[in-house]
Amino acid sequence: MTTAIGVTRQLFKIRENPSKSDFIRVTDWRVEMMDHRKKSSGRSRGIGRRKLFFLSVTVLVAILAGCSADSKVEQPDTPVRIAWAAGAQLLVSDYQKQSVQFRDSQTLAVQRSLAIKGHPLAVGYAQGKVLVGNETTQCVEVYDSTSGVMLYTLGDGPGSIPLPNDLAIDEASGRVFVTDSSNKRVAVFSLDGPLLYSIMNRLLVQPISVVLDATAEHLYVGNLGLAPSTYGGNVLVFTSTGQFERSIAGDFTHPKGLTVDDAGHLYLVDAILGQVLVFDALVGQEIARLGIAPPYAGPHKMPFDSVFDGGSQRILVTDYLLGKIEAYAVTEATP
Amino acid sequence: MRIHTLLLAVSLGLVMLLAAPLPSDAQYHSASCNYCHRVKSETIGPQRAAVCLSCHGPGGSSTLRAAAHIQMDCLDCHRTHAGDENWLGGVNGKMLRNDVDKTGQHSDPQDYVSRYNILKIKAPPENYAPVVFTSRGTGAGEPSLHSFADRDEDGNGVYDGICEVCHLDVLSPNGEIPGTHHVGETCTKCHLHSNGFR
Repeated sequence: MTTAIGVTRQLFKIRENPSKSDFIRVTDWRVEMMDHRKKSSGRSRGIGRRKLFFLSVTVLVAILAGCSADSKVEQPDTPVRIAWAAGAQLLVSDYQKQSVQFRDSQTLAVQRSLAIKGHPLAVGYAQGKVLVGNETTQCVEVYDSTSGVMLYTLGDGPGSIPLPNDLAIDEASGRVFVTDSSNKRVAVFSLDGPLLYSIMNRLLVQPISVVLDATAEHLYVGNLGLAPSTYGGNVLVFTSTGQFERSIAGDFTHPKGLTVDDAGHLYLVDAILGQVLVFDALVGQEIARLGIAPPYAGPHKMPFDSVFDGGSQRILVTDYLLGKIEAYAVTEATP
Repeated sequence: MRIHTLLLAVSLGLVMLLAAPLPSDAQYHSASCNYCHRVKSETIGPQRAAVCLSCHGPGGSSTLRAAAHIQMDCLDCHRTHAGDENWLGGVNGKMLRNDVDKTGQHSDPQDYVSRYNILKIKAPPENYAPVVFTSRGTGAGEPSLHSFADRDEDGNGVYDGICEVCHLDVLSPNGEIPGTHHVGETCTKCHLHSNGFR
C-alpha cells in the first residue's frame, strides 16, 4: 500500500504540473514496479498482496482519469501580435488559446478575452472595432469590441487572405493595411470592408509584418527576401499609396514584428535572433539592440511583435515561446 | 487561318507558362541551407526552436503547423538532416531522430555519432532510448508495427516508439505496464502536433 500511495503522489504531481522530471520519476516507478513483480513472483503469500496492489492502482488511476476529464491541462499563454486599443488597453492575440485579450498596459494583466474561432494572428483596433487576422478562416474578421460579436470580414471573406500575419490601421483615412504573406502583397482595405488596392513589388516576396509611421505617410513592411542574396529578410518602405521608396537591410533574419516610436526609430523584432533591433527609420541604419544576444542559456524564446508605450518609454514585446510580454525601457537599447 | 492558328498556339503557350506552378517560398527556403545555417551559431541553444517555428509556427509559410511538447524543443525528437539508419536498419519517417534523450537535457548533436554506435547494441545507456518510426500507425491507414507506440510488436524487447519511449506507463488507463492506450494507432490524430501533443 505504501508503494501505491507513492505512485498516487507521483501521478498527482504529473496531473498538476507535468514536467520532464515527472516523466523520469514515472519511468523510475515503472522500473520499481517491475522489480516488485520479480520479487513477489516466487512467493505464494505475495499473490494476495499483489492483487491488492494492482487493484489499488487500477482504482486510483480510474479516479485520476475521471478528474482529468474535467480538469483539462491548462493551455499556456502563446501571445503573438500586440496592438493598442482604446483607454490605455492593449490587444494581444493568443494563437493557441484562440483568443484576443484586452490587457492593462501598465500591469499587462488580462482584463477580458474575446474568443476567436481559429488561430488569431494580426490584431488591431479602430472605431470601437477589433480587427483580427484569422489564420484558420484565412481572412480579417471585424468584431464589436464591447459585445465580442463578429460584424463582418474585410474583402472577400474566408479564404481570401491565407496568412493574415499583420495589419496596420490609418484611422484618419479609414484604411487597413494587411500583409497577405502567401500572395506576396499588402492588401489595403477600407475599414468598412471593401478592398481598395494592393501593394505589390518584385522585392515583396513574403511580407510578414507591417507598420505605419507617425504621419501615416510611410509604410514599413517586414519581408522575407529571396535567397541567397537577401535571405536574411529586409524591410521595404512604401508610401501609403504603394509607391516603393527604399529597402532597409541589416544583420537580421526574421523581421517578425515592426513598430515605430515618436522619435523616428523603427523597432524590428527578430524572432530567430531573439532580439529587438533599433533602427534610425529615416537613414535605415541599426543603432542599438534590446534583449540578450544569442547564444545564451535560458528558456526557449521567440519574440514576435511589439508596441511602443510612449507614456513609460517602453517597448512591449510578445514572446510566443516564453508565453509572456516582456517590457524593455527604451534607454536599455545598447549601441 | 495559319496566323490565327499561330496566335492561338502562342496564346495557349503563354497561358500554360503563366499557370505553371512556381516553387513556393517554403520550398525555396527549405532548399536553401543558409536559411537556417546563417544563424546556426546563434541558434545552438534555446533559439533553435524558433528557427523551426519561423515556418511551422504561427503565420509561417509551411502548411504543417507544429508546437513544442511541454518543455522540449523540436530537435529533441527531430533531426533536420534526416536519413541516418535507426538501430533496426530502416530510416525513420517525419525526420525523426534515431534516439531520444529521455532526460530532456537537449542532447548534443556533436555527440550523436558516438551515441548512435552505442545504440547498435541492444542495451542503450540509461537515459537514451532508440527510436524506430517507419509507420504512422493504423489511424493513418498504415501498419501498427514501428509506429508511435506499438508495445514492442516485433518482440525484440525494446519499446522504441517515439511516444512510448517516455510514455510507456503514463498513458496506461488500467495501470498496466506497458500501457495499452490505443496501441499501434496514430497518436497525433488526438494529440495534435500543432497543439504541442496536448
